[in-house]
Amino acid sequence: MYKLVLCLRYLRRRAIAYFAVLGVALCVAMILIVTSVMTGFVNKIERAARGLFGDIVLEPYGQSGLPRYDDLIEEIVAKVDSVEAASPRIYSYGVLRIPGQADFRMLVQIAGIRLPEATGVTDFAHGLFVQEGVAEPTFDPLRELMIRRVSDEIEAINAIGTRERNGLDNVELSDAALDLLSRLNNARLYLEAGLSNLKLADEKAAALEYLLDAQNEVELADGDTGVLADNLVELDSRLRELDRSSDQYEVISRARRAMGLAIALGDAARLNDPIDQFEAETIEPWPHRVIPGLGIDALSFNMKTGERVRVVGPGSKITLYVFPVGRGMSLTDLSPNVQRLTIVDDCTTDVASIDNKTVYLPFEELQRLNDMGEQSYEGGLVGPARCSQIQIKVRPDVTSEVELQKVCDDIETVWREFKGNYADRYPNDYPHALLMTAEAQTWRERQIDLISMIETQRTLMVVMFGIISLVSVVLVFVIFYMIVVQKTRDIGVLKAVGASSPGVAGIFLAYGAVIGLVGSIIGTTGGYCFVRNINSIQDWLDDRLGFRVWTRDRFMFAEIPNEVDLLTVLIIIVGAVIAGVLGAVVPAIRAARMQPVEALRYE
Amino acid sequence: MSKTAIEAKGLQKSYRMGEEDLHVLRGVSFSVAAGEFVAIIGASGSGKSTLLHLVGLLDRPDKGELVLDGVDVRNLSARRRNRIRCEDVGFVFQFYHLLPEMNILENVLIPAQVDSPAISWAGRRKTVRRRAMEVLDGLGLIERLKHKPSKLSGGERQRVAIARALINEPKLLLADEPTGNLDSQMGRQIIDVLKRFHTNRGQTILMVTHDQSLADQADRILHLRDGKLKE
Repeated sequence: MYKLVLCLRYLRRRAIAYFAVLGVALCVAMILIVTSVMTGFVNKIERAARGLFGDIVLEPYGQSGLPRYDDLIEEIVAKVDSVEAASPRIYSYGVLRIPGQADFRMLVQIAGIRLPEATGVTDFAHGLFVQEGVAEPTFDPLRELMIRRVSDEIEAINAIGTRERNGLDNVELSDAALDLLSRLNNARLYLEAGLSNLKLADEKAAALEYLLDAQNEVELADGDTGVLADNLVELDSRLRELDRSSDQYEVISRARRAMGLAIALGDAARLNDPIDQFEAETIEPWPHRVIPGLGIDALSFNMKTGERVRVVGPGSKITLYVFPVGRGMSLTDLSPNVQRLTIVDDCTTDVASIDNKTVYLPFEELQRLNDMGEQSYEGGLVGPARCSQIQIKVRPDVTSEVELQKVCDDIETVWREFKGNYADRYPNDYPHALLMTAEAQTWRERQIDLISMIETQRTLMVVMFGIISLVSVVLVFVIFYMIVVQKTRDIGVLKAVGASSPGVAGIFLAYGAVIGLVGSIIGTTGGYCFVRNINSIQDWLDDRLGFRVWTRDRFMFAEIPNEVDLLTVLIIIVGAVIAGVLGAVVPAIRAARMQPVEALRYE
Repeated sequence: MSKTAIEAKGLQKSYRMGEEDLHVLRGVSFSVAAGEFVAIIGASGSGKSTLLHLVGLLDRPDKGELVLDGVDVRNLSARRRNRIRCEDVGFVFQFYHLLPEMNILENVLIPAQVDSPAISWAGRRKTVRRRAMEVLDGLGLIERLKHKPSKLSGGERQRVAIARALINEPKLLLADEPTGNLDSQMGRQIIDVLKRFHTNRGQTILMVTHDQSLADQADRILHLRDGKLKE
């Protein structure tokens, strides 16, 4: 009983014990932070890798691509039980330009994906802007949705602009502040241009309606074009409301000209051509579409406060120069396929290094631009359309790497069979269609370089900080040794009244354990709070001191991982208690060995 | 006096001082009956404290026999010796030796706590506390239970030390110059306290001192000179 009383009393009365507690707390917090961030980092990479590319990827060597992929996917899904879904993908490279930003050109990775099919295989659906929360996103999102999102974004930018301007009251405007305001203004102008492009389709639909109405009325009036005059008056009043330079004006005036011509010539059939044209434009307003990664420079920028401001949004156009690395590529000449594309959405994954250089095109669109489409040869031979790889999703209960490997083997078996039967099955295909070999790899295999590097780093860090934490053992040792020397007489008294040697040693061991426990509780609490708020701390440091450890653009992830594993916390607490006891062992033995007579004589 | 509390025969003890052995006790024999108050008087450095430490089992003699309350303590295990120190012997030191981190009551309770593990302490706590209060009350310290030793005068501290020595109701009370650090008036009070326990409760006391007037208060005086005892 006296052990407990004494060790608690020593803890409270000896100020120096607080230093031991503090030392333990700091070491514990340090280890907790390092392991949490590193483990979080590894987990994030693993999750991101699976989310981006699916569980398994079947990819041929070289760039010429897999033919007859749809038949192959059908066979894989039918023959390999564990496979849930699969989707073909094309990867290529190109240069991105943005109209109105003459200086901007950027090398990008281009991914051709099938929507919504690909969302069954990867996490592409997460992190879309327009189609946020839409279960089956496509390259043809609802126009009302696009208009609403862009309008909201413009409003948000206005609010940010107002806030920033208010923050500058009574202060001489710095270059940086002026620059920011002009960037915000630019962003608003670009987005508004995109918005009017989105709304243009409404004008075309309205114009089409006028023309259809007009044609209908002329038919009802037995070819009397005089009844069109009312429509003409209405169209004129619409035109007066519109800005002469706007696209809307152009659309309505086209409709008006067509109608005026029909009236003048007394011929309703004159309306057929413009009707056909408007119909085509209304049904397919933007034949070429793209979903860019939000992180691409010039498409958006980051506020210091963490908000991401879109500069170029849905409705805006970009130009892509695709280098066709597919089958058509010649050894001496590489001429890019150029395509103007309309942005219909944008996307963020967890991985900054993907978001800042990837644009997504519809699968068939990129297939064409990459010269991977079907080609005909002399003698009735066909060069079948190709894809770069097939991304495969397995059932959720297949989790371990070993099980995934097994599925890979099964897929490769199906592939070999497919290859063996190919010539019989597709006799008209170009004979060289299937010379390549292909390999199925798990997501882990594909990322092994990165993952194993970071895992090694984590182990190294933990070992290093573990060694540093020996400091806390030494600290406890030194402080306890001092206390034992100081308390020599008290130890003598305790022995004089019958305390046993193990009992006296027990006081100090328990004391060490208590210091380890208290220190680790304080340390884990502190470390936990730090890790959970690590991103705010980082932002605060950046804001106040311009000190940024984690550069968003340079690292893979926008955010520092901030998860704390409960098991790790427990292990660290146990470790700290052991460290405390360990540090106390030698002083405790010294205390136990003391002869009462000598201890009492000690002054 | 029917029973013998202490029976010592030919106790010898020497310490190494540098090159040569210092023979402190050269064959000390004496006996103390139960209920007796015996004083050992001698000059400082004559080995009084050493003798007391041997009797209190804080140290072991080089040679000789020692029987406490009919038990030969020479070859007892450390465990038995601890137990005897705790239950059968109470110690009062010249410099009080109270634990500075604990208050008066807690200091007095220490020997009782040493005697019992945490679980059984819960059961005994009440009784032991009551006894401690009684003893402290008898010593005029009931007002100062929660005080730290540093707030007390020397005489008060020594009375606390006496209370601590008596909390386990030991058969034998050993006092090592109990008044050595006090002025004569305070010293007298302490002696009175000891005598009171002796007369009222029949407490066996063995006290060493160099002060003849203190020694005169005892039933019997032994003189320690040149490592030997004389009546």
